[in-house]
Amino acid sequence: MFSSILLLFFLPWLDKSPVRSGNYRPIFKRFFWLLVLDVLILGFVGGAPISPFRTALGQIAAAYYFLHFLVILPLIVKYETPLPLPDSISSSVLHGEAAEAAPAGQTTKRRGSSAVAVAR
Amino acid sequence: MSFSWAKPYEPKHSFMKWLDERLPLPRLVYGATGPGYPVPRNLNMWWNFGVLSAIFLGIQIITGIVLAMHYYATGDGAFNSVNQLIMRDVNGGWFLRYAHMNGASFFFIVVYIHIFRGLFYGSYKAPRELVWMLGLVIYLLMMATAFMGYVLPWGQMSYWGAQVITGFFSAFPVVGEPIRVWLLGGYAPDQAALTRFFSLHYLLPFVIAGVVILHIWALHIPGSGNPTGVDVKSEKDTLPFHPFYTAKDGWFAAFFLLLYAMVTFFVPNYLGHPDNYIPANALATPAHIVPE
Repeated sequence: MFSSILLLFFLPWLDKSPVRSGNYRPIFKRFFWLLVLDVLILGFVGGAPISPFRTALGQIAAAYYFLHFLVILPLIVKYETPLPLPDSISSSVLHGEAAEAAPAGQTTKRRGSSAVAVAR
Repeated sequence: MSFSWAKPYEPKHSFMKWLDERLPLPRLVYGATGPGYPVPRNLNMWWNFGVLSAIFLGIQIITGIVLAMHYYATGDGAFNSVNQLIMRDVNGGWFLRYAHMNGASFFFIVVYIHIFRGLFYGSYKAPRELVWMLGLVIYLLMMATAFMGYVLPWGQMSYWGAQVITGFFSAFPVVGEPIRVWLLGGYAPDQAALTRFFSLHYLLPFVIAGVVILHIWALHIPGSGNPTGVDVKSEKDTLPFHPFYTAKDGWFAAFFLLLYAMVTFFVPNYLGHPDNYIPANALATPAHIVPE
């Protein structure tokens, strides 16, 4: 129980990927949601009455929690190819004059400096 | 604080100038949560949960201080002081108690979202490792505080919760059982445990508040992260905290506090357990001893 949080103190060194945001890490992103599901299962099992099935489920979910941080995260860093990052924060949110001037709903957003008009 | 284009604090009123030369408190606030703190312009709603956690800490401290004025930390008096005195006799006592009870649950919900925001967007990575670690310290302190708070009403779930949770410590080999007895001040939860839990439950929130200040201080050195994870490069990438993020955080806080109010006023016991309305009984273990 204590080690599950102690483990998180070492997280900056378990996940050495230079890319911070999960938005640009396709494999990390999937395992992130799996971890969320895992923690929700742990929360449910912790609050529910005891049964043999839920005990086993809790043990598996707890094992997966440690597996995620100690095994899966370092492996993801090794094998994942991150998506290209935007040049800057402003270029990721501002899409140039063409997009700003176009009528609402007539452009699609695209990461980068320009926007593309949609042909309808 | 962190970027060269951060707006410097310039007191206009002569009194503010006088104060600034002696105690630059307004300068600190201006630079930390005012126009003097540049924040990435692309923050999404998940970045609102930090401010929201601070709001819940404030709610818990304020309601908690008033509740403590009416609470008796004795094995005989604790249950009745909560369920008779506070819930029925004290003016607005029911509101304080329900606000504090559900406030604790919502505090945890908000903090969990805040933690998972950090996990998804890599907020624990350099140069923000210490922000992350201080956050974990806050989380540990919160769990200890919440547990001890749960024991205070001295109902069945309180008593048996204290029994079970302190029992975790007996899992340590050899030293486990002596640690447990030392923590409880006896072999089972009793007066000694109740009084020390009350004392620490009052103390720890202020320790949390102190670590929160360090958490924010450490954050404001590199500045806030953002959903792209790309570093701030120029003034174009940021907006001043005030008015842009005070408005965004404020709007979201109002929305989230509405959810909190709905639970507090309409289903205040939904997150609790009915057995905690039975006074603590050392001879009868509840059927489902599940600490929430």
